[in-house]
Amino acid sequence: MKGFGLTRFLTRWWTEFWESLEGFFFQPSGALVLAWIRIATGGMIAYIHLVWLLSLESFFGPAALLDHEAISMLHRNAWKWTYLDGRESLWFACVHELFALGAGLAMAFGCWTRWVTPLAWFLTLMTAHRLAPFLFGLDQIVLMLAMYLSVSHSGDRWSLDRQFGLVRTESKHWRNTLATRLIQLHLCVIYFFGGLGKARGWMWWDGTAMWFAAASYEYQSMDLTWIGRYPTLGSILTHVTLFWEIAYAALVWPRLTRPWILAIALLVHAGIAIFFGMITFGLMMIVANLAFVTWPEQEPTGPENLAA
Amino acid sequence: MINPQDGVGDCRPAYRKWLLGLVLVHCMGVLAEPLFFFSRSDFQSGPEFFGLRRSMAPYVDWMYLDHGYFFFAPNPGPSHLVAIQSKVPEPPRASSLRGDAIVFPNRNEHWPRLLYHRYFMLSEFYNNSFAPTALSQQDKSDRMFVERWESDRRFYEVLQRSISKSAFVGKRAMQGADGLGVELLRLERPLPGPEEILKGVRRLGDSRELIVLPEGPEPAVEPLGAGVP
Repeated sequence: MKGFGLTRFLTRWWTEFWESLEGFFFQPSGALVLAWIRIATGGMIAYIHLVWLLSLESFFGPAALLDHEAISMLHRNAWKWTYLDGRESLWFACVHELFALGAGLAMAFGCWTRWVTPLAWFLTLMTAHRLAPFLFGLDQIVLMLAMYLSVSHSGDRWSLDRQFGLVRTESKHWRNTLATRLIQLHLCVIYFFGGLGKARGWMWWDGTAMWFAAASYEYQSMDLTWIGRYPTLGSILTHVTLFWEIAYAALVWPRLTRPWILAIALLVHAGIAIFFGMITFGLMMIVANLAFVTWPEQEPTGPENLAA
Repeated sequence: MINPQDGVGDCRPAYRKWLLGLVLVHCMGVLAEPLFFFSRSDFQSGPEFFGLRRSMAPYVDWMYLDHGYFFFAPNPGPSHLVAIQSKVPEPPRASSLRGDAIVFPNRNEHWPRLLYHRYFMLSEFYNNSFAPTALSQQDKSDRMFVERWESDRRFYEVLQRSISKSAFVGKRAMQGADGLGVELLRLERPLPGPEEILKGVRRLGDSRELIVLPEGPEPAVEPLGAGVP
C-alpha cells in the first residue's frame, strides 16, 4: 500500500510538473514586446556592421590588424568556422558587411521578418567568428537576442510585414513564448554568473569597485570620479550591484519583486551607458530586460501564467 | 499550427517533448562555459563541467555561447594599451615610449565610441596573449610549462607580426628608421586611489602615468614622464 501511494504521488507530481513545463514554454502569447526587442536588436546589428565598414581595411583583408594566420592560431582548438576566415578579399568582406547591415535594417523594420531575422543573426555570427578579439558584451547580447528572435513571430507586430499584409492577423503563438522564455533564462544565467564572478573579487566586498570602475580612464565617457568624495555612496552602489546581480535569477520571477529588480537593471545599465562609455551595451541590456515586461494583451493564454 | 478559429498558434502536443529536449540541450550549452570557467583552478577543472564543456564544444563554440560572463570581475583592473613606434638602430636596454608612437585605443582618433571600443578590446586581447621572450631558470625546469610557453610565444609573435604589417600601421608610413620596421609596446594605466585624483596629485587621463610593460621575464619599469601624443 505504501509503495503504491508513493508511486501515485510521484506519477501525479510528474504529470503536474510536465504540464507546468509545457505551459511555461508553449502557452501561446503575443508578439508586442518581442517586436520592440526586434526593432532595437535589428537596429543595433545594422549599427555594428556600419562601424565595421567604417574601418574595413583594419578588420578584414590582407592588411587586417589580425590576419588569417593569427585568427587560425587563435581558433585552432575551437569550432569557430566562418567563411570570412581565409578569404583575403576586401571586396568580399565589404559585400558581406553590407548584406549584414541590410539584414539588420530589414529586421528592425520587420521586412520578411521570419527569414531576415535568422539571416541577420547568421551574418553577424560569421563576422563574430572572424573578429573574435574585437568583441565584447554587446556582441554577446545582440547575438543572443537575434538567435532567440529567430524562433519567434516577432514580425506580427510593428512591422512592414503587418503593414503590407504579409502577416494577415496577429495571433498569439507558442513560438513567442518559447523565444521569450529562452531570453529570460539566458539573462538569468548571465546575471547569476556575472554576480558570482564579482563575488570572487575583494573590491566588490570592501566597496571600492565603483571607484575603481569610475577611475578607469579608458572606459570613462563622463566623469564619475566625484563619487570618491562620497565613499559610503560608492560602497552602497557597489554592494547593491553585487547582490542585485546574484539575486536577479531568483527575484525577477515573482511579480512582487520583479518591478524592483527591473528598475535596478535600468539604473545599472543606464549608468554603464552614460558613465562607462558603453552606450550600445547598456542599451541592449535594457532592451534584453524587456523580456520580463508583460503587457496585458500579450500574456500567455490559458488558466495560469507560470511566471506569476 | 495556427488555429484559425481563435487565432492562437498552439504547439502540437506530439512536438512538445522533442522541443523540450532541444531546449534542455540548449540550456546545457548555455551553462557549459560558465560552469567550466568557474570550476577551473591551478589544480584541475571540475571533471563533470569539463566533460560537459568538451562534449558540447562544437555547439557552444559555433553558436557563440562560450562566455564566462566576467563583466568587471573579479575586480575592475588597470587598462592596457598598445603603442606602435619605429625601431631605432641602437635601442635602449629597456623599451621606452617615444613621442612619435601611435597608441590604440585613442578616443581622439577612433570614433564613434563603438569603434574605439573595438580597438580597446584588441589592446586588452594583445596584452592577455602576452608570453615573455624567455623563461626564468626556475620555470625552465617544468617541461609542461615550457611547452605551453612555446605555444603561447608563437601565437604572441604571430600577433605582433600581424599588427605590425597591418594597414593601420602602414597608413601612417611607420617603416622605421633605415627600414628597421616597427616595435609594439604594451602599456598599462594603473588605477589611482580616490585621494590622488581628488587632491589633484594625478590626472586621470595623464599619459605620463602609463607604464611600459617589459617583453622579457624582468619586472616592469615605470618610466613616468613618457608622454603620448
